[in-house]
Amino acid sequence: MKIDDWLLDILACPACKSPLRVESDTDELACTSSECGLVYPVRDDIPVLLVDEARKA
Amino acid sequence: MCRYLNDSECELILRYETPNLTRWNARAYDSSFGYVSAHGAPLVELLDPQPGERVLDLGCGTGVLTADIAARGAEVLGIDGSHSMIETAISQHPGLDFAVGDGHDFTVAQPYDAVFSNAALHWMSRDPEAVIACVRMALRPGGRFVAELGGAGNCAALTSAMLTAWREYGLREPELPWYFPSPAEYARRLEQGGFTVRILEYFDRPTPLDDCPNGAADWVRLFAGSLLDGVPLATVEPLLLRVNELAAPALRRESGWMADYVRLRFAAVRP
Repeated sequence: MKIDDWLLDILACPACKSPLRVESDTDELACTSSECGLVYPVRDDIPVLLVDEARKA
Repeated sequence: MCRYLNDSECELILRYETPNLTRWNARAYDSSFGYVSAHGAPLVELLDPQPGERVLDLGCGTGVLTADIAARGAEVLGIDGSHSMIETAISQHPGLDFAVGDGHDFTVAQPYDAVFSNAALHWMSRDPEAVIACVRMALRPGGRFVAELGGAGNCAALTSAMLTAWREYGLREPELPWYFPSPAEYARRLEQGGFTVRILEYFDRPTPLDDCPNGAADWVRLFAGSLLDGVPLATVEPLLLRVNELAAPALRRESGWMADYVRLRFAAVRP
């Protein structure tokens, strides 16, 4: 997965607005808030920041 | 479900407006419907992006105007609800940043100098107030919101031909997926959402459907394809032919089909 660091710096969790971090094991973007804990898919190197498509960590 | 698209294109699902899912074909959108971007080009003049500014392009589609804004030296992030659109945007503008996101609940880590949106806000019809609230949150104080969308009466001849044809065929009246506000309504929403409206224009923009040999029928397939999902397969062709018959007196010229577009364009500022 190639996610621009810069892109990671500007994106945030749409549900709780916390920063995101790369989950390199699963190629996903995880919300850094433990209370929220949503994990967003990255498909074809494109972050999909849709709450409907996120999974609970 | 997908009569006009092949299977791979069927995966292209856009959800600006749940519960209706609208399918987009990014290729057809760019080749046949480039006017969506081309006619929007002057909107970038209204945005007047400055070198180094951070701009969010909301509902960026295939990224044509995102690239235009970037070419003026701004740092742009393009967001669109359609994975297919974003894929195309990335392949055509590899140096730029894009993400899939929903206009109703997108969030950014740091505030932007401007949010720009062309021909997209009318697709975010589920809750316009939520969209405006998200835009406000994404802007720094003093940041601007510059956009154009379909205004009240947009495509009135097209949609009235659709509704009549649906009724004639005994089909349930389709719920149109768009939000076409009047200038007063949208200005009120902007003000209630914490914006100061600086410029608001409301104008007709008759638009040639140059690459639409089947006129209104093709337009329905591309922009309102989800409404055909509930129509029996055998009825689709005659139904669309009837849409053409009904729409022709208003929209068919010697030179070809015209869409009766009405636009709302504004520049607002977060105080």
